[in-house]
Amino acid sequence: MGYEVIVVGAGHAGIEAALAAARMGRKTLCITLRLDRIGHLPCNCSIGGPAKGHIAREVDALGGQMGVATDYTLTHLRRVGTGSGPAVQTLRAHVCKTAYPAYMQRILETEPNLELLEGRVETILRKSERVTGVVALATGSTSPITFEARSVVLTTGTFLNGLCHQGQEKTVAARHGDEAVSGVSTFLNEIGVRLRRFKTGTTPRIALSSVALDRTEIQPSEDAGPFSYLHDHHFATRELFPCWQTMTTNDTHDILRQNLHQSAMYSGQIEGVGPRYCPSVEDKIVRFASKDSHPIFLEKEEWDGESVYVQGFSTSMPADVQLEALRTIPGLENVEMLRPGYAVEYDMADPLQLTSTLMSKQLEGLFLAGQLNGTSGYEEAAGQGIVAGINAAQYSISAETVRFPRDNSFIGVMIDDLVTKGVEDPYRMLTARAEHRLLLRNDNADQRLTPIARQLGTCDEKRWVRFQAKMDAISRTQEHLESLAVNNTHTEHLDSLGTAGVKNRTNLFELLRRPEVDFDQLTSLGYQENLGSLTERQRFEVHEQLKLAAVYEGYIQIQERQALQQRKLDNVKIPNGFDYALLRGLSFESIDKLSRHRPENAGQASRIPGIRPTDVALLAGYLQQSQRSDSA
Amino acid sequence: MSLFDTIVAPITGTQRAAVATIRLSGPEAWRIAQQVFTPWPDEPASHRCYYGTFAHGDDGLLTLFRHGHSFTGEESAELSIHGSPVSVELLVRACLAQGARAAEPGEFTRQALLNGRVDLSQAEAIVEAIEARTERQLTHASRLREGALRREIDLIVETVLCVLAEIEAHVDFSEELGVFDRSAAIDRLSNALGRIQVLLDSAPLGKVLRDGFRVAIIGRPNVGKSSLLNKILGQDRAIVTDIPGTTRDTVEETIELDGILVRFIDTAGIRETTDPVEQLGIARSHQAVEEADLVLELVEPGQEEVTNIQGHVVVLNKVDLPGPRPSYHIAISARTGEGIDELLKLISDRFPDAGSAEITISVRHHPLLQSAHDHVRGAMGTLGMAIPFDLAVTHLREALSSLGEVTGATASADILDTVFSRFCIGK
Repeated sequence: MGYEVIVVGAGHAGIEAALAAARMGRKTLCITLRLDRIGHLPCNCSIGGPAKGHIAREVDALGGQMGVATDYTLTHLRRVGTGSGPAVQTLRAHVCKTAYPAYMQRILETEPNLELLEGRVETILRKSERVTGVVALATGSTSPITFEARSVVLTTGTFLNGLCHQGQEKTVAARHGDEAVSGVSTFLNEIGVRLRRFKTGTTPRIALSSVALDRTEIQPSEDAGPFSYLHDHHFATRELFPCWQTMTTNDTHDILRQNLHQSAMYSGQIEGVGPRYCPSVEDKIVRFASKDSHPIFLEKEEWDGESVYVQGFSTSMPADVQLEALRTIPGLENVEMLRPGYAVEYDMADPLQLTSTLMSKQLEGLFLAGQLNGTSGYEEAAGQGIVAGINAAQYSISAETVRFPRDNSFIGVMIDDLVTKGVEDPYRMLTARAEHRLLLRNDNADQRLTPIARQLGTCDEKRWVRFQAKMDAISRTQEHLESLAVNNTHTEHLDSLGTAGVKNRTNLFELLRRPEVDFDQLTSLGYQENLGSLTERQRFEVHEQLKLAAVYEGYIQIQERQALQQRKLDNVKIPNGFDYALLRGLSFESIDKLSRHRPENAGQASRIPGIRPTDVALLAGYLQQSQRSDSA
Repeated sequence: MSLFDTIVAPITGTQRAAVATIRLSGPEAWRIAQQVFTPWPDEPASHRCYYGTFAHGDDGLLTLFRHGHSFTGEESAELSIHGSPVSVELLVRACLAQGARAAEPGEFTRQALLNGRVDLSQAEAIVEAIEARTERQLTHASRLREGALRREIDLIVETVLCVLAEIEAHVDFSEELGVFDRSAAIDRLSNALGRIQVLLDSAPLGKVLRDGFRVAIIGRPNVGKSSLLNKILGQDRAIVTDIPGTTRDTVEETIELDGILVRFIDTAGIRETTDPVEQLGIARSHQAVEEADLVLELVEPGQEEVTNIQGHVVVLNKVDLPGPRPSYHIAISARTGEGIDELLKLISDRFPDAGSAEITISVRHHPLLQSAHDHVRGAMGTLGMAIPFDLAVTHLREALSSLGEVTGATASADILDTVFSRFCIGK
């Protein structure tokens, strides 16, 4: 049986990869171990948060499903980063852990061009240096089937040689209740992909009825707008849940410290490297020994059901220690533990062996995305998934693959980090990783990415029409504001609006730069809202864009200039198979690193740790000179 | 394999001299040398000198360097001939006819850099050393080569980086770290700002040290401008060059004074005229005055009019002649030499002060440090206002990038072009 694209896995990366390829018109097959686990949320049921929210919005702007699914299934919603500038602000939602996968399963099942197969991929097929398909065993069958494809996307998450730890107990499993897979690891080894062991973990789940909520601090949901650019509002039909904050105590830390020898992490049971920015609670008390308390958030996992996720309490201690420690936390004195936390170790594939299209440098047509590449988090997985899906689709018809530069998206920053710096521990997106982040705001992901999605075919008519209406309204309104002006005769009027008078003619867009000036005030100066058929939400977005563009213009211009400067180096392409030894001026360390990493351009080379800037200048100078002599 | 063309240029000065040397560098260097030199040795060897005749008829020495063992790192040949400019011109043309390309300014050093024979900071110090004409310039160039400027910049960078890292940490981990301390950050940045200011203050001296101190001599015709110049030059001082003016109307002469090159520009007499040629000369005089670090306005006894422009030094010449004296700052006699030493002392007193900087910055460094200064101040402004603190990183990154370009720590695609644009032909 032949396909253009096969996606292995249907987690958050697999979903976006499969949908993108299918929406671009490719005949796509998605193979997953359990159909009822499509879009499963094995860790907390949260989508978004600092920087992760940005990625979720970008996936949405590219025509992905994560944001839409969140709007349909969320149970809690807050704005985050409100104490910081516009680049940092985003959304965090909790989704219902049964409704979200069910929704995703329905979407995948009804997507034209997409077929689903429940089964296990035994190996991947190749001919010379190209991928040609996979061999899979359907659930319940004993005879393997060969599926041909021009591109294969691997999104196997924590499934490769997964090993679960709870204290000294070990289970061969990818996560609670799921079997591990080993055939794909063997294949990756064969083609020279470097596999390493990473570790991640999750928290115990507790029963809501056993929590003394009056001893916790309540964090109510906020009216924070929808996640998806497609929507005017989210679709929760019940009142959103709050979440509850409490904290660890000295007693908690004492118990964990006394039992460190029993922790899978600290007793040497786990060889894998854990996430630095999402550490287990035992990790926290060792690394931040001076802190006598860490915050704990209680998050309800489903609309109906008792289960509560104990955010901040990820652990691989034995179950009895977990319970004892939990009961030292205010509000949890009589807590009932539904399921203990555990850690999982798995194989990850070194992302330095990927190009920025997420195609393997070891095998043409093979794309890797998600936790397999050493990241952590649903959003990080989804962001890679949609890029891998798009490029697998393009590659399958020999169309040009697409790169996402650092100044265009958090997704681009993440992929560039992965393929130039590699990962030492599970990679989590942080706001600070994006140097041009004022350009990469949560509120303008559509302006950055939807036109690209339209060209590729992942943006449908509905999204495009809505996007264009918004963009038209923004430019129309800006022109209108620029056509109206105040001068020194308006001082009294401006005073009455709470803002200072002007000396010279100042148009209303310029006036909008003042933080205290809003659109209501402009109305009294002649501004007439002309947003036609736009919805309330879209009008809010139009005003928001203009206000941000006006207030932060200076900062945005500086970042745009910096981005342009960076692109100059990114535009110096390094030919395939370039021999660095030719450049006799390069240090041996640089020659060695560059030969191993095989960067695609001088910009990537400049971001490889340990490469001297003078070596980059040299490389760029050499390549520019050779480009000049080529064209001469 | 080499990416380079074979390039050719004289590597000695353009003036008449006993010997001049032309360098060929690139993969075809030996082949081209063979076409313009006879007898070509049977077994040509690197680092050997051969005597023979060159294509333009002159005799001289040929020195060969093989690939990887030359100044540029490329295969090279150095052709030493009698030093007449015509002879040099003819031989360069002969090499061009054989397929060599005329070297662009700095291209030999650029080849050396790309072949790893020198690094970027050395390359820049080479420019300074080549251009050094006084001992003080040389000392300064070697201080730069030893990294004095880089060390100071590194200290500034560290401070800025520290504040940047703290802001970034607060962006992602505000719950753990608490409220960002704006005033502590402003204090640290103001320290960095002070250090940048010290470097910026060294710019005037840096410019004078590198390009010389320009003194324009103005005055009515026959007031004695040329005599004064001749007297200064004649006074047993090191005459560094005599560059004839490009028009018949201005003459530039250079002397060394306290390790600084002082360039005297003898301007055409400034007066009303309708002669187009003279008008041109007068326009140049005005330009010389504008560019000058100091203007000496020469007057003589009996002269009533003095321009009395603020900043001009009025020098009364012909002090030995009788007549009513206009008001003046210093009196000399270009004929007897009276007052000349005092005049030179007056000039050297006007040299820019070194300030507290150990090193001075160059014309290339100046806009970069100015930008760093502006952006550190911008960041302090952002932190001092009621706007989100993390916006300050925009300025801090820009400051770091500019500081990095001074030392070569910021990799940029056109840093090589910037550095090499300062080279003169062939160096």
